[in-house]
Amino acid sequence: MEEQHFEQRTDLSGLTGAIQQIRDLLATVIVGQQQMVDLLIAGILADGHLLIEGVPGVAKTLSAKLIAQCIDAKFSRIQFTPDLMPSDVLGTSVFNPKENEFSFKPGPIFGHIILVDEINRSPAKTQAALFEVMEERQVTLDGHTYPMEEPFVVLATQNPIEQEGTYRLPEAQLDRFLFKIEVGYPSLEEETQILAYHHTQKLDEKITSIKPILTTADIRNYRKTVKSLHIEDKLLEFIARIVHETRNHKSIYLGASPRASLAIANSAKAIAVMDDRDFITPDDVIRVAPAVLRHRLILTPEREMEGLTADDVVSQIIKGIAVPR
Amino acid sequence: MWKFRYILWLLCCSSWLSVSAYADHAPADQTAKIVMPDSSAVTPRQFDQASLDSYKARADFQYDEQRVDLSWWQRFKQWLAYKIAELMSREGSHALLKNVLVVLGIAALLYLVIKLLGMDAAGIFSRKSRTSDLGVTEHTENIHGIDFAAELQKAMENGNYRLAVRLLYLDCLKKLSDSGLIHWQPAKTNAAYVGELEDTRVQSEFKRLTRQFEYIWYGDFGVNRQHFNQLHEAFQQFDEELK
Repeated sequence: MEEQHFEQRTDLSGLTGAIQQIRDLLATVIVGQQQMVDLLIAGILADGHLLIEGVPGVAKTLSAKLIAQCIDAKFSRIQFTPDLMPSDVLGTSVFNPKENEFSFKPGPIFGHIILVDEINRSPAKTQAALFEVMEERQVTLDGHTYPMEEPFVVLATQNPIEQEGTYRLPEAQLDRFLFKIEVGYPSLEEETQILAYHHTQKLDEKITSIKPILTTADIRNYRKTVKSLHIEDKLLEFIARIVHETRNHKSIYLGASPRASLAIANSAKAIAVMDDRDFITPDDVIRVAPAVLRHRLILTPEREMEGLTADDVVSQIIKGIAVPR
Repeated sequence: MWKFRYILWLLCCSSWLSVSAYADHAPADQTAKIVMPDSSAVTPRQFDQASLDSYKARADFQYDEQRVDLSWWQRFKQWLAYKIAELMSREGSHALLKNVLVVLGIAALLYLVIKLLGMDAAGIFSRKSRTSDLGVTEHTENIHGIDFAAELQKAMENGNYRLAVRLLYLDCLKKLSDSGLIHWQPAKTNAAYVGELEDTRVQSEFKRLTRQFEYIWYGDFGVNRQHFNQLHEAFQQFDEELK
């Protein structure tokens, strides 16, 4: 059969081309981790903040730095430590003796792409400083509100909470992250490739030679494009049903909020674009659902003790809902 | 001897001197003080009877213990405690206690193993197993219960080609399931079915049909009669290949 080609209703050529370029570029430095790279790109296109979790040494920070380098934007890095204060993140008012008044000195949060490294090394007091800026894209200090420029993306990395010297992030903050991307160990073949690559290539030179692919204006335009993609009503119901089931499941103490439904819909659109489609399918929804839901669910203590994970429960829920077709 | 008399004489002299010195320095009015008897009238104070009565009426000051009738459960517990104490005081009771503890320990260990393995404890002792954790209702059509020929004819007559393509695709899934090439489950996605097909030629053709269906059904792309006829033909060819 000769395949019928459907005319694209939305011009995705520039966007899909840029995505492929970023993928190729990251593949020259990071071996494997394709799922992580795709979710990072999708998260930025869906206007979300991203939390990357993994044990030390699995290229979390490197991936975040590389993706930031692909965008010609103001990049800041904040190393979260146990003694970090909210003013170290947001900024503070400093007295100017010449003009005899206080002037605001912006903190490192004022940028486009903010890498918050080891976010769970700081206690709740410092985490709370991020609440307003992550959700409302603004900072209020001394009665003044300072809006953030778009794009504003927080790329946070963290070690699993069982690690020494880490704090559990507050639920309210976790809910502000679009995805929690889990990075596992590479396979045996991938690890061999990493060794071979580091043996022959000069990684530092490679990283510094990376040139930006997208501008902040491109990001703003592409986000509008992604938002305009078509989504069928039956798929909206499918998403709502998945999120709704998290609130009724016996193994879950706290289910996902409506913010999770919106997050699934938006990020599924970004995933669809990466497959050169201007509409979403159930596969897109199922692909992003674990990353959107895993940090938003709190399991019951007995299930946690039994070793069940949020991913297991999400998988059970998805397997119990008929795909609309 | 004369020494002893001399010391005694000195002691007598010194005591006489000290007594006479005290008498010389004593206050002159001390001897003049007279003790007077207290003749004032004594008024005895009485407790206020009303206050006493109010205190007596308060529950805090009711010291008489009231006899409480024990319930049958409390009496049973007392009786059981008495019997156990009696049993334990007999000769050889320690061996019995040891056996009971061993049995309880084995039961606890079994329970722990069952919980760790995630087994359904209810299912071990009875036929009826617990219901699944997932109380999700599946909302789907039963593809094995649809009269595809009739429904397809109806959709074509109504000019609803989008629905007609959907029916063709569902019929295709049914045929794949009937021939054992896929394992039909309503929760599986189209991509999952594509992945289940082992024959690469069948897989490639089904993938192409799936893409067409998805563009029309999820992408809301329009389909005219000519396009539908092409698709209908493609689905029929695929059916022939499956036979």
